Amino acid sequence: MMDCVQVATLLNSWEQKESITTAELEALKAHLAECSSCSRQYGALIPLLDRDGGLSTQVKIPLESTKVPDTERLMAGLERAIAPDEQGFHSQIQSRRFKRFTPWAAVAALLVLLPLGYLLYANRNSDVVTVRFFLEAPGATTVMVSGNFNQWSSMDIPLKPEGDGKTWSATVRLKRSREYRYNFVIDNQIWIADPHAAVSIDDDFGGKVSLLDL
Amino acid sequence: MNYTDRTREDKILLALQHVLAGDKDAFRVIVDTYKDSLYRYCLARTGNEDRANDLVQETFIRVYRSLPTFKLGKQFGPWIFAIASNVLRTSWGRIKREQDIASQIFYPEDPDQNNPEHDAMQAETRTELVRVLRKLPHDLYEVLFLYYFEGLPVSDIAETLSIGEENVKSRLFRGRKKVKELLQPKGFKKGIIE
Repeated sequence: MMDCVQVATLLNSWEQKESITTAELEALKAHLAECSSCSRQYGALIPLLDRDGGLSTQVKIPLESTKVPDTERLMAGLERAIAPDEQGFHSQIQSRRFKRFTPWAAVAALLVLLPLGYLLYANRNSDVVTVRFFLEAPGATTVMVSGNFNQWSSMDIPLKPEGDGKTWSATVRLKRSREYRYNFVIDNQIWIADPHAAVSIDDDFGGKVSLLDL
Repeated sequence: MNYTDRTREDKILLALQHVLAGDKDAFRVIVDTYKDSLYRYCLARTGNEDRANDLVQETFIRVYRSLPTFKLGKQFGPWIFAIASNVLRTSWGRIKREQDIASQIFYPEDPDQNNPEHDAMQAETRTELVRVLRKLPHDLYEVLFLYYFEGLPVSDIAETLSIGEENVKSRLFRGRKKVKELLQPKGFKKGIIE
């Protein structure tokens, strides 16, 4: 049975090294159960010691369901708070992203999309695959490809117009053995799945994202 | 929550693009993903559920307003935590003054425990721990929280807070030391035999 001095020594060692064995922890708890003075002084450390002793992965804070922040309430609170400066917020985004947006051109582009998709150039010995993305979007001002390979940036991989003036394409080198998700972004405004992708799934925002399994 | 989870990050970054493109409702995904974790962060510090709720709301408002400044290439989880940490830090003086006046700290009971004796003991232990956490300097609190309450490894904490691993370890050490000191009964002086 551990005595008070051994408990203090053990806790000094834990403080320095953050490590404590399960056996030491059990012995410590046994002592605290018997010794009210040590229990008063060190009892509150038990949740921390349990984490360091491997008895728990984290200190749990039980949450009362009625008090946990509710998503709808938070969204409503957000709505109230941002309403006065909403104009400013969107003009900030507009200036960053939609400078050249022309709605009619984008809608026209959508109507005439033709399935082209992507082409793969792979060397069997390489762990990198060259992927060429295509989209037919006449009338578009810009076309980007945005996916989990570029952190969904809609700015950094532009497709370039081909000679026919309708087809846009870009070449990207991607690592093999991964599943990629992507969209095309037309005129920084319209996000669409690849019309010719083998698989497109819901993106949770009312649209689709295309899958590319390398 | 793991603030550096890649799959979650991917989903969040897509949501971010939708919000920036004008779909305000896509922000719901960000709220849903982080609200419980941020609530725990604020609750463990304040010990007051209403106050923690207000802080979480304030955090999301600031996150929404700051979205255009988020730089792709950085991780979103650590970025949102840094905002929460700033909200807590800047509100802390006011909260502490208010709580010093209202002496009682409310802390939830554990609904999963049926044994009333065990329940009472656990609640008492946690209340005491929260009381002590409230007295820590902010830089020690945030590291202790991420390590003990979120269960993150040192390397992830370093990434989340943009500091070195040695710095995390040093703060953990100082945090444990401070918690132990604060738990000592008043009037007890180390090395002095009365």
